[in-house]
Amino acid sequence: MSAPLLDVRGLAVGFAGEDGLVPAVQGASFALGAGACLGIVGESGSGKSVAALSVMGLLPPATARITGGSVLLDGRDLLALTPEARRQLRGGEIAMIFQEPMTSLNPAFTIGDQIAEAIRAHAPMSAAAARERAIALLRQVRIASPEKRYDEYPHRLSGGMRQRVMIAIALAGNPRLLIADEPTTALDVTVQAQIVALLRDIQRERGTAILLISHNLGLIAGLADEIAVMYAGRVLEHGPAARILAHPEHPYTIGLLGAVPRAAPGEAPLVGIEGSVPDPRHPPPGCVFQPRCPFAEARCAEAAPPLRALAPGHHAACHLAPLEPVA
Amino acid sequence: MATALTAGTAQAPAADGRLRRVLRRLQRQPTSLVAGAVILAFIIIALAAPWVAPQDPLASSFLAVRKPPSAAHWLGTDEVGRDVFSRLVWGARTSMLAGLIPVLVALSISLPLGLLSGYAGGWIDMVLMRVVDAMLAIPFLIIAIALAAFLGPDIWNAMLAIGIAALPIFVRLARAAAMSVRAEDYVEATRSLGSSPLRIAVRHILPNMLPPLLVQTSVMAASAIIAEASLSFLGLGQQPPAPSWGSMLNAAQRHMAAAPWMAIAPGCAIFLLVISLNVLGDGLRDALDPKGR
Repeated sequence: MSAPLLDVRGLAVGFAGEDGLVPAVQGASFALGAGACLGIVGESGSGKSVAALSVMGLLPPATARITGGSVLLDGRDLLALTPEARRQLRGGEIAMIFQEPMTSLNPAFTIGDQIAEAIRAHAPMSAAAARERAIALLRQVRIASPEKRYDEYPHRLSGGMRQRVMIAIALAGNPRLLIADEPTTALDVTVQAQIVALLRDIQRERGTAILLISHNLGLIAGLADEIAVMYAGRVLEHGPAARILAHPEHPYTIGLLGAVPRAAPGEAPLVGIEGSVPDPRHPPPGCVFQPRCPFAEARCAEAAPPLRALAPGHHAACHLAPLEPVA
Repeated sequence: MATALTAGTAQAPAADGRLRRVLRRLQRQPTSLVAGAVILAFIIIALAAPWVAPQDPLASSFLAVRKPPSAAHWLGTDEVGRDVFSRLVWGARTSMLAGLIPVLVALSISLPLGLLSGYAGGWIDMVLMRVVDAMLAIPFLIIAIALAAFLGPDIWNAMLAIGIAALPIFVRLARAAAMSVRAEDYVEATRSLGSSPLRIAVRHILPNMLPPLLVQTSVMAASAIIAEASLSFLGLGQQPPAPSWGSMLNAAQRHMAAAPWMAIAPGCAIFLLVISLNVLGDGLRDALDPKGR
């Protein structure tokens, strides 16, 4: 990963509240190489979706303020671009799929129309050519008899099918970066697995880099090459997926792994993390996770630990890292 | 009106799902079906007026002035001996147009304005809504009468005036619809594809604004028919000797005691058409409700 495709550095985003700016993301940094998959994991309110919307340039303009940092795509700072230039990038260089496939398609048009529209938005071509390409895309997202489905309205499709259509629409502009914000949360478990497999195939076949955002570590584990763990607007740990899943260094990551349900009963008890995400306006002193951390010591409340390298590419922000293996 | 009808049926197969679902739901409401049949009957009568009307609606006869209903004149005759039934049939044309034209005028102006106001927001929204508030502060009919009087007594001016008077309600509705559609996930999804604001507004928001407006259209058509009747009653709408239901009532009021049939026939026609439009509007509201089954 010499020159990453996407390089987010020290991103800080706040939302205008009644009593000043409420920070949602505070100095988050992560990078994603071309054709790779980065999983951002975290609880609700950890700032992962806000970080994704910042990359897209789709933060609500009335309330959101980017207060610091940079978002580099191929070394170009997106935050410095004009709104019009950012709009050009959307759907072309960067595309996004959302959490709610049931409501993310326009009920007034056929799915084919909507895919063809996305195709023609970035590459002007005849309606017939766009139809051909749209059908090819439908086939690529594994929709059976795409010629017939082309003329169907969204309400006739199941949630999984609609998410496939959303992926087809996102792929219409041949993006190099696909942001998937909780792409399977609204779907059945069996369908979730199919969508994950589809995203993996797309990453491999088309070389599309994927920024996967989820609270579901199991989903991230199945797809991501790299993992970044976000909490209270900060990245607490990041590194290669295999390394983080096998040797988590931050107590929060350990807590998240302990809270993943497994199929085999009795193997390990399901453990929750006590407490809840701190109020971003009144963060606890020192480490943001310290009030909930089972290993917290006196020094944790005194100073916030910086991200430290523990192994090649593996960083964690914890005073106690690296943890000693316990027998 | 004929073109509007055929266009509607031609679109039916293309507009698959949603339209068919709404029609199926409408079919389960007997009252809406009856109302629809009554409206359709009035439309057919209006279109076929020359063949339905037994006599010339303008031909007066001093031998048959204010005659009660009989075999020769089914609904009697008016003060100059014209056949009330024939005038009623020809008047249906005016009244149907009076229901249609103002609604088209109101829709064609309020859709872009409401879309602009609801989608763009900001000071544009602020200014438009204050103008709408000001118009809403004056009763609908008063605005229509003032405009019609200003434009001059003529049936087309009356329709235009009614359409403009109906604007504030439609702009409000269109704005509310635009605002609610703007917040839909698929609009956000379209934005993530880099669609331009104009494209989002016209292609993704506008079509989804129509269902709530459709209901208002049917109710508004009823109000417009009454308004036309009122304006004609006041002499600002249809000019004699051409018939409209309102102008027939206007003529009848001087002979209420001696020739009540002159008032009863157009009165019943207005009542029947207006109640049918309102019932159909209610039915449409239920059929279009996404929460219904």
